[in-house]
Amino acid sequence: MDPFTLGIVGLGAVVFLIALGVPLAFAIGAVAILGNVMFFDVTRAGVQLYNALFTKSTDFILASVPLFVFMGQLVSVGNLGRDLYEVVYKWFGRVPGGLAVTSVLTSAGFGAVTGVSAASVATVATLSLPEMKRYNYNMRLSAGCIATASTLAILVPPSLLMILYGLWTESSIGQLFLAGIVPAALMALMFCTYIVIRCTIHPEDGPIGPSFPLGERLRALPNLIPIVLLFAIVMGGIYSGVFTPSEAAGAGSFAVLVMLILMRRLTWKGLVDAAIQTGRITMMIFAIFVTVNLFTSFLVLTDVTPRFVDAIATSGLSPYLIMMLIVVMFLVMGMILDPIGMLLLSLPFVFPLMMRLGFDPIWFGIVCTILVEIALVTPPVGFNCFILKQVAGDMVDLKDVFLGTLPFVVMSLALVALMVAFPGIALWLPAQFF
Amino acid sequence: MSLSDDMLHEGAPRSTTPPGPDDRPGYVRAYDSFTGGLFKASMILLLMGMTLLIGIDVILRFTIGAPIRGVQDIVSMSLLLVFLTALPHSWRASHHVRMDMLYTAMGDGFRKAIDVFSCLSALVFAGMLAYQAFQYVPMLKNVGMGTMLLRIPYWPFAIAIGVSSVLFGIAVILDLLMAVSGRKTRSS
Repeated sequence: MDPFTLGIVGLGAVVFLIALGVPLAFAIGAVAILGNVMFFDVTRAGVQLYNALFTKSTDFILASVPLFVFMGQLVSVGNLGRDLYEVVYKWFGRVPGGLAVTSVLTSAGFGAVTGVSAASVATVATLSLPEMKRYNYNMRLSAGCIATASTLAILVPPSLLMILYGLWTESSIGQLFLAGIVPAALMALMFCTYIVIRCTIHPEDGPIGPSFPLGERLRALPNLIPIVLLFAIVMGGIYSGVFTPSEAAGAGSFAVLVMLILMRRLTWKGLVDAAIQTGRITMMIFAIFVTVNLFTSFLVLTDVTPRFVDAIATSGLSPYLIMMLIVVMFLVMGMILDPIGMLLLSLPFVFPLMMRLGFDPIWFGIVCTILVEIALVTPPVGFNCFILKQVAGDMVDLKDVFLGTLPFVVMSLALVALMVAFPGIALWLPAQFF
Repeated sequence: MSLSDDMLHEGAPRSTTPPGPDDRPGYVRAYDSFTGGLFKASMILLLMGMTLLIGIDVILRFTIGAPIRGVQDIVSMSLLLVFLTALPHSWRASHHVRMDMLYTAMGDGFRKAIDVFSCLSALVFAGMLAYQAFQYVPMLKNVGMGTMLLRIPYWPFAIAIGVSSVLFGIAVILDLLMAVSGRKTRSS
């Protein structure tokens, strides 16, 4: 079999095995190993596997993955999200759809100290949904806004997805973090504006909540200090040049530990839970990262990636049409694959193609992140919707959760369109620092 | 996507469905308990260690301009240990993400076949990795390869990779036996 055919068969086999339900890491790993055995021999394939595992698993920059996840887990077990929610509610609860607006802003704020959206959706839904039910909110709007707004956590830095994108594409993680800020703010603004307008026109969808005296609102503000401080340490450290992203993750985890000890919120059980969950997430990511790395080298060896990029780049199609097709591909992949698997599996193909077409790597990283966000709420596997349903119990049907996310998904896609039209939305802020 | 794989759902509540009866044979339970204990203990130790080391290093560097020498070397090798100590437990605890739309829609026979194939794929992974790791040990020892700054030797880590792969392989074989015998109870 000639190398190119071998590569194509390998690619088909990976898709087939994943579709059958073989765990991603091992579907990819098995094909990559077998492909390398056929391309070289057993010994060389073993060397490739060992080297992929050793070099990736000892890469200092990859330490940012478990450490940022650990930081987010500690924030979660330390109930810092609850503090944030209560402050935001006191300030914004009285606008039309105030509880929904509070959920969006809390999710964005929560994203500033945790890079994974699941912690955000569970925390915000637990706090917000019962209140929304009590105030007779439209539960479709409520569930949809919480499920989608929670995805802001991976757009607001620090973001696990951006770290993985940066590592994979060798783009600056610092620039990616900065590039996510304006789109995240814009997305939060779009969501809030939609909620306020909708609830002004249809007050029954989201009645105005109780108003709190100015004194009480001001007294609530100090509860924001831990989150603001943490964000300042992590982001300030990176952009002042004091930390690398991995050091920022370690320093952030250290800072949360100290804060929780001072606040008397750190329990042994909480610490163990945080460590175990971090271990699970890290294991899953590393296994996919290592095997995709092996598989990508195999695809490059067999000439599949270069020929694929060549074929599309020289097809005469407009770069923007290709970009649109990639968006559609991500949306379809997002319906059936988990976000990290989807990102890591598609990047070996789409990233070189986008670079060849002249798109900016940082800009594309943010577009990818938004598309992954959408994947988190689109049926049939929208993770965030399932988590929300678990929290909500009988308060809302799963169907309503998915339907409720629709307007927010449309807004997210509109943001992608805006970013295509105005790349500066993502690139302006990094340009001020780098 | 399998929601039992709750690795992405760190803040999500656990399922309220009561677990079924545990029909694991004693030796499987003992093995699960060993790999689970190793996972738990090492995660606490390694994550806390990495956090404290980087935190103290940053503080020392920022305040008195005297960083701890070789932090990057220690953290990098700890990172490898995070992976290696989590690997044996990961299979039986379903930490690996899979797309289960077709898997759950199909009958028992299909699922059993996929489970067996998955186990075989994982065994190939474990076998090749273990073989290569043990092959490398003498060479790494003779050449004296190690980390950049502290010169921490690589060969003990090659042994660790081999041992971890063997432990992972045993977990996969136990799972295979359970799948073939129709007993699929997993460790938590």
